[in-house]
Amino acid sequence: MAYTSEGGKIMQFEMEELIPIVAELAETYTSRESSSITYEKAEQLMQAVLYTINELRFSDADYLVSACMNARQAYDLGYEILCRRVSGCREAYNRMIVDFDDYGNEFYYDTVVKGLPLFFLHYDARYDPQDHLLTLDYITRDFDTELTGIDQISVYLNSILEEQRYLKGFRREYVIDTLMRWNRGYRRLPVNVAEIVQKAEGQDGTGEELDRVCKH
Amino acid sequence: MEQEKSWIECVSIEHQMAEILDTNESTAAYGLTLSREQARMIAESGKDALRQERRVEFGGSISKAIILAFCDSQYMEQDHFAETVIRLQEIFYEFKNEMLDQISDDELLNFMREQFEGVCAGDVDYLEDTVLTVYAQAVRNGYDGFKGTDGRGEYQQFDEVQRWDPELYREMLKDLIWK
Repeated sequence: MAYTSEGGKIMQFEMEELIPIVAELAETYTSRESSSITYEKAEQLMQAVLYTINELRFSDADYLVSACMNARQAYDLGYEILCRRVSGCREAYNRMIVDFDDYGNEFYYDTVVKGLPLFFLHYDARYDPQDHLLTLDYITRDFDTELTGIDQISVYLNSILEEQRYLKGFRREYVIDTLMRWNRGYRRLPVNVAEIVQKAEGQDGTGEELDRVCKH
Repeated sequence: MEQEKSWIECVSIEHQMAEILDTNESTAAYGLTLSREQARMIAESGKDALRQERRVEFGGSISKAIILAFCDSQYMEQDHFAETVIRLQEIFYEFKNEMLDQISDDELLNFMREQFEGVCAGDVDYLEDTVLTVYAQAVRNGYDGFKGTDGRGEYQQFDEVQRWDPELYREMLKDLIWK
């Protein structure tokens, strides 16, 4: 069992080191009322442990990922990092939603205004951190289907923030007019709003132009 | 899937035999004891039952709790003690699954113990095929009355069988003999 830190360091843990952590999770998950759990639940908890340990790659302090760290320490620190990331995303979302504009697109509204708060409400950082709960129907430019849990939400939220900053560079009427010219039924289509404006602006959608505009 | 099985089956059951043998101190008072061989059989059967029901135990096994819960039953006999514990163990895991893990260990054990002593009169097959099957269906349909009763006094409301009524029998007997 291994995880790779950002710097390319690899830590390996024997299964015997991870099982006690899974056992502890199983115990608290069942409120100590059940001595056994299903394979599926056990597998979910093992994935939770591995996912949490993998959060160490977001640690700034390199010494923390030294070979001296045992699985328990790695898990505890990973959990701290994971919780900090969830808090950070929640704060970023709360700041962003005040000025958020869906430009009338239902998918955009449903995902960002209705969906993301449900993630922050129901995300299970302890027992199921690998599940981000949402289908994220509004597709962003950097959407990566491989990502899960807070990793997915963090990247997704960043994309939404960038998109909003980019779109705010234009008058609202202009954005809506552009969308209407592209397709009068855009409100009910699963499209990326920023991408359509970008194309209308003659930007090729490679992302470079978007980034440039965002910096201004 | 192979990897999943390998780590799940890594969970040791070595200490289970010792745990089972420890119960002899309590069960001896009821004329029931288990030999090392029987303890091994129970521990190994428990592991098989867990595998069969796709469940995993991390801490203490349920065997000890089953032995202690059932040892004072009037239907528990030394000759069939180990076999009965093995059957009860299998049934326990089966119905944890059947009840979708909605019921705690204690609630299920209390329910099983009470029915084993009552309507089942020590018949493990009846406990499995009728009593627990009916009850599990209710739990799957959302029944959660066991949370307030700890699994005790639960079955009467689901029992569809007209049971023997000793009071009525005595009344009838009185009528026949003395009136």
